[in-house]
Amino acid sequence: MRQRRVVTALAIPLVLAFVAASCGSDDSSSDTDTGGDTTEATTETETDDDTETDTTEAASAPEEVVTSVAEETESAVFGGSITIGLESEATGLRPWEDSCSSPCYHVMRSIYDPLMEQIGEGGYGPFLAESLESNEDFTVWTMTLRPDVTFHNGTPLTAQTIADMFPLQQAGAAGSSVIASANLVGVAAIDELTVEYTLDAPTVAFPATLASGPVGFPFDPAAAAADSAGYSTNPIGTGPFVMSSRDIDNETIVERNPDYWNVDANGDQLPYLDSISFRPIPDEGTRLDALLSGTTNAMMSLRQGTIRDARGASGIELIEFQGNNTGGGMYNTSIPPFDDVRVRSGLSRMNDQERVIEALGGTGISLPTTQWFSADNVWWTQEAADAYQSFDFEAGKALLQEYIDDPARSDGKAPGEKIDVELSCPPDPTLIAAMQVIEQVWTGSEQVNVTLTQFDQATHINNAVSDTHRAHCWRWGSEGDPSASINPFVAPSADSVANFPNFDDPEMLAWALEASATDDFERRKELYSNIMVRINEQAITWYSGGTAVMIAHEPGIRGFNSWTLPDGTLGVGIAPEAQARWFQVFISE
Amino acid sequence: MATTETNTDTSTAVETATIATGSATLRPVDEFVVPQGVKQKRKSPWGIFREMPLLVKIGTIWLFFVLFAAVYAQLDARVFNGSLPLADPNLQLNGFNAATGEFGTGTALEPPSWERPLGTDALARDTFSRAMHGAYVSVTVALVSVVCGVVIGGLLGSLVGFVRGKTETVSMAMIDVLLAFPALVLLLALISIFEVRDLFVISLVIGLLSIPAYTRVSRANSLAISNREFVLAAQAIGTKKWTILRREIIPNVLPTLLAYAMVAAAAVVVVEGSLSFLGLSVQLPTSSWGNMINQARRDIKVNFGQILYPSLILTFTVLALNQVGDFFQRRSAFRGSSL
Amino acid sequence: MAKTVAFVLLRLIATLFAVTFLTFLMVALLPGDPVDTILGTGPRAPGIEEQIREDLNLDDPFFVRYFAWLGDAVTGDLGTSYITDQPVADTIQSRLPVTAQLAFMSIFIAVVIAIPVGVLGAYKQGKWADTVTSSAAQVALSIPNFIFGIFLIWLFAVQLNWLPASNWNRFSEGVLDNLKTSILPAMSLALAQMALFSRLVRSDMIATLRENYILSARAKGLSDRYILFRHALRPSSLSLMTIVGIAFGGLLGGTVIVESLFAVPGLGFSLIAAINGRDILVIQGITVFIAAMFVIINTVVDLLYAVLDPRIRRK
Repeated sequence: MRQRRVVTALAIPLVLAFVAASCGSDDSSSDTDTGGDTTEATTETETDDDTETDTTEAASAPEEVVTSVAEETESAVFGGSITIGLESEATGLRPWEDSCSSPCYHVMRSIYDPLMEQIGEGGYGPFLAESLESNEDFTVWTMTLRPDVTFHNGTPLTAQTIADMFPLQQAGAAGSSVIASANLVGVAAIDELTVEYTLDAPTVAFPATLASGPVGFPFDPAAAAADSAGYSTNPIGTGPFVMSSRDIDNETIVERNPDYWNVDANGDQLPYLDSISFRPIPDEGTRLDALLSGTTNAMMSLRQGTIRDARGASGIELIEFQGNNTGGGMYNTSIPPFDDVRVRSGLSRMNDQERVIEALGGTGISLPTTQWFSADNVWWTQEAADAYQSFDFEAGKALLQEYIDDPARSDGKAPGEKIDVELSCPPDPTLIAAMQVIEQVWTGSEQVNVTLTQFDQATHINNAVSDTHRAHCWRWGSEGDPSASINPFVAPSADSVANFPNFDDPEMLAWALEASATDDFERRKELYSNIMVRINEQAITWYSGGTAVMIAHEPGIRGFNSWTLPDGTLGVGIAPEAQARWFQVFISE
Repeated sequence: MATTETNTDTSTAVETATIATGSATLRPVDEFVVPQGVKQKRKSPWGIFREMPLLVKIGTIWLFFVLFAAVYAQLDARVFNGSLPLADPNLQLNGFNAATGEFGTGTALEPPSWERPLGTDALARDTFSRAMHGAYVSVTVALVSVVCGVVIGGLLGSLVGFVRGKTETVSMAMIDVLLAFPALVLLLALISIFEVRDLFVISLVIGLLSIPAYTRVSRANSLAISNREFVLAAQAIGTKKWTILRREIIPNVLPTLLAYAMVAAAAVVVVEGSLSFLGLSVQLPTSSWGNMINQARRDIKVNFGQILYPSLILTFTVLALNQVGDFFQRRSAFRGSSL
Repeated sequence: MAKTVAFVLLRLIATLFAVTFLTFLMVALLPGDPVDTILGTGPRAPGIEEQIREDLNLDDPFFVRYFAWLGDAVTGDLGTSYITDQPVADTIQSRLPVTAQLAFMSIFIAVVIAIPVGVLGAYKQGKWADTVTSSAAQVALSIPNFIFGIFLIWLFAVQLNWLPASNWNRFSEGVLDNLKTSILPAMSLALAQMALFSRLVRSDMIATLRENYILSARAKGLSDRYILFRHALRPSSLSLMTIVGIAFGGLLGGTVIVESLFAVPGLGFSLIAAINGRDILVIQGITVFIAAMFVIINTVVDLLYAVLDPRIRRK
């Protein structure tokens, strides 16, 4: 449960790797995954009762969704309570300080509102903000706040509040990281409701920062400064629900905020629900059983095997989503033999994606990936897909043999000797199953001595941070603007912890910087595609399949996928990582 | 536990000899305090076997079978390079076969058949073979802990129970401190320190943690024996302490200690199973009974057998060790009391 | 007697001291830098690592850190989690009732079943009833608690759907709700204890039944049941009490695997989470707490035994 302190969104969604057993990955920013795939692997709702009010395929067909949202709102019902099973407990509920993963955001999003929120196609729209504008070179951003918003304790939300939050965010473990990657250096209140953000480098993706928990969730800075630790269990936000009771690792209950500012399409005050109970249930099977037996009304999962089991169960409805998050791994290119591209390519060529996905329990649920974006995403390119070194045993063997026979091979062994490879994953049964599939092929080549290791998540992440890893299970991508995950990844390894493979390529860095300084979408897409192509050519990472996630719930619960921004724009549904926005969830008759 | 032993050893309540079990077994040391008398005529192993009640006989046979499985599996893997008739425990029968360049035709979660007596697991590997190889892990851990316990714990306990005085007070205080820790916790922390988790490290850590319990048992026995006439007599005629220890104390402590070792080994097998179950024992793909149980949990609804078989095997083994250990304990108790 | 008590207390303090030191040492040896635990994998603002090191006194020498921590610990302050910023003592306070309840329940179940079974075994010594119960006890003693727990989940939660497989309802949420969530983990823990207790009762009882006063009670024509439960059980209850005490102390640290299997928010569950998250002060605090409780309970049991057993009191 509480492993990382990492954070977020902007910050580093590449993180969490496979590491996600109980922590999912951390990112709060996301863009929309557009469905439309022919397989079942995209956003989709399976309904047992086939009701027309459900927003099936919400994200894939925005036009349709708008209508269906209208219907939803008309049929929305006030009242009722929901108990939801989460995969782990929230480490803490201070957005500027605590590392937050998907289950934690479930809770936080009931308490806090974001300044900006994600909409389709990787865009962002105003939520607590009314508008956000930048100057010519994307270094100064001016935000106007919505008037008449108050915190749960009655304190009004003003521009000064946002400015006063900044020092706390800078000192916070979560906030400091997001601030660093957003190049944010100053926040000033211009008048009652106008805030000016100053950046020291052009950052096109800044709106994503204001959608992220660590910087984008307003909290009461006076109360937070007075008692930071207490804020973790008694958080105060502007959100739809108010903390009622928090029994860590057992149950957290939030109740309707009677003074919530947001209204639905009919002008009725939100939220619909009276209260929500969050239950951390780490075991996947148990969490599903709890839903099936009625102990809970809803659950989340980031595991393909669980989705498979949930699909086979009756009496529940599923909202599935597969976005820009892919499982796989990476090589630490600073350590021989992984400094040699032939070894990396050779090993990646022996990564049998289909079988790995099968071992993960994701056949028919998760699709093989070739880059950090799913095939239906706007950032996905054919060039990157073509550059991916997919499963080709003989080609891999030839590459490895070339290295083995090289008298100057980098690992210092004599020509002809087998290559030593250490492959490490966290001790999650499904990940280990997948790891063993890869190991089987590598060993089968008779060119490699494979050692499998498993460390608990904290150690697994620390090994990557401290660069002692070799071949390492990891998870890639994020729903946010690509700059969030890609820029730190290609930054010089000496400065950037998040350049885990320690692969320094000035050209990739230049592309990333250029992409942060232009809002020309086509150009940015081309630049990020270049980076993906380079990563694939150099075989720095390998991929298995996209990370499929779901929220499963009892029939009759609506609104997970059909929520809208205050201006009526459809939001991103449960992206990223099955995060629910609670203010428009309701229980239909 | 802290005991109120100054010189009145009877004031000790029930001393327990828990091995790093978490809660697996907690057995009073008293059960294993059996003052042995003069040397007795040894019975042949076959004679002892015939003495056993039916269930103990079955248990003994089972233990030999487990031992055989462990040795056979290792021979197959290390000496005969897989040429003995036993499936490769790590071969994924539906996986990519590098030799032929094709995918295997096996399936995952197969039910038992003649060819695959326990079916296949979620990765389409032969469960019977994995269980055989898993036996090696349990046997190794058990043997290493018995050796550590009997050699180090046994010697230390015999010594301090006989010499007494400050040596005893200090050693037993240290032992008490070690026994004060929640054992599984101590184990988890120690294993995390080592970082590398191979069978050697696991066995050694468990072995070291077994020592305190053995020390208690052997000390209690040593105390009892030290008060017997033949020891007192030997002391009276000025026999060297070391000689008494070697000739009188140790040979008489040993039989009960070995009976205890069986029971302790049962606890150790459970400990290793628990660690494996938590994913903290030997690294996959090496199989152990605990990690087989853990891996099969995901498919408990689809295929109950895969979780059932390793669970039964583990339980039978623990049961057999307990049965046989108790048999020897009763046997030596009987002989002790008949003196 | 006073001297014995003084000695016992002195020894208790020495043991506790050693326990804290060993724990601190062990945790200090854990691989991994606390700063990485706190900051994770995100980009790092310049100077923040040094700031954290300074705030947490991570660069002080080992003994300075140990005694600083010990000094606070004596006053009940076990430090503050690096990760959640919550006081470790608060965590223990909220988890202890859960673990203690499980320990109590499992011992209660075990004793309630073990006494009649043990008495029956002794009374019918050598007969089939004895053979059956003894064998059952032997089997029960041999089933690892996590395997029994999986079986209980499979049977009661998955197959029969009678009880939840996970979750925990606190006692304050209603006794029945609490029972629903606590019964399966308590049963998993109770099995081995039950077997152990019944064996103890049986063997004690067999010894007692041979005593003269039992024989004379029989001669007086008292009913078997009266003799068994009034006369014969009483001496056995003393050793049963001590082993129950010890078992209780052991259970405080022995629920780890069952708690993580059933996701019960007790001490063991927190401990595993802390070990996985390298939440150093929580690992340290809980380990020391459990070990201290174990030592203290055992000391109390010892003293009680000395007070209650007339044979020892006379000495």
